[in-house]
Amino acid sequence: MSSKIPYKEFLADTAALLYLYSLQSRDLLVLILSKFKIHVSAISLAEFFSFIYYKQHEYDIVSRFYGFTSKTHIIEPIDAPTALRASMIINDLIKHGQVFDLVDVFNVAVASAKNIPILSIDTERYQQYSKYGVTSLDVRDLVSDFEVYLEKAGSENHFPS
Amino acid sequence: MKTVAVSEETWKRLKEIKERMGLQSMNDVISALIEAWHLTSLKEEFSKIDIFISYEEGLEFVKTVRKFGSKGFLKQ
Repeated sequence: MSSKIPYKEFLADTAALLYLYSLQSRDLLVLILSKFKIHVSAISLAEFFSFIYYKQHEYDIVSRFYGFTSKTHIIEPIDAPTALRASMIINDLIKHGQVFDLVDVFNVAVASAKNIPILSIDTERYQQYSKYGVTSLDVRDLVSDFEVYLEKAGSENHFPS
Repeated sequence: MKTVAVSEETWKRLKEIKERMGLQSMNDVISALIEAWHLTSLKEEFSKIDIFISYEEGLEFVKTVRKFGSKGFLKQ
């Protein structure tokens, strides 16, 4: 695709995941999910689904929703290599007296292992991790850029959506 | 490369799609059809899930999760 965004794969943090799933247009979300590979760490997935459980008490709906997300995202486990990478980052942050958030560190560990940018709302919070080779991108920019791309491609769109 | 056998009628329809979409090969046509099918089935599946997610409410919830989730290590 000829979108301005040079990446096709991302790791969505919890806020980015919330943003994507709250999009007014479900068709837009499905298009985004089919055009980009959006990884999600198990830890962000847990935060996201704790909200889903909080809102939706019907287990069947939550379970179907989980079926959908597990099919459309790449769920990244917090496995031994990720834990080791996270521990190196934590050690470095402590040495430099930096305050951090554990969920962020695990997301950074996954993103740096996969060499993919982090999708977020608050890209500034990931600036302290840039030395570990991790970049971040505003999910709102990805969505608006993709909308522009869709509009341009609209005239050539062969399959009405 | 693998070969696929299609009926005369299907071949005609595939050629029509190839022309209309300005694609180079039948491989591209089949890839585009698979992508379209994939998209339609995702949309269909998602439309069956009756869930509404409020972004602002979700953010507030996660803020609470992080606050409640940092009880601290061992008591002194």
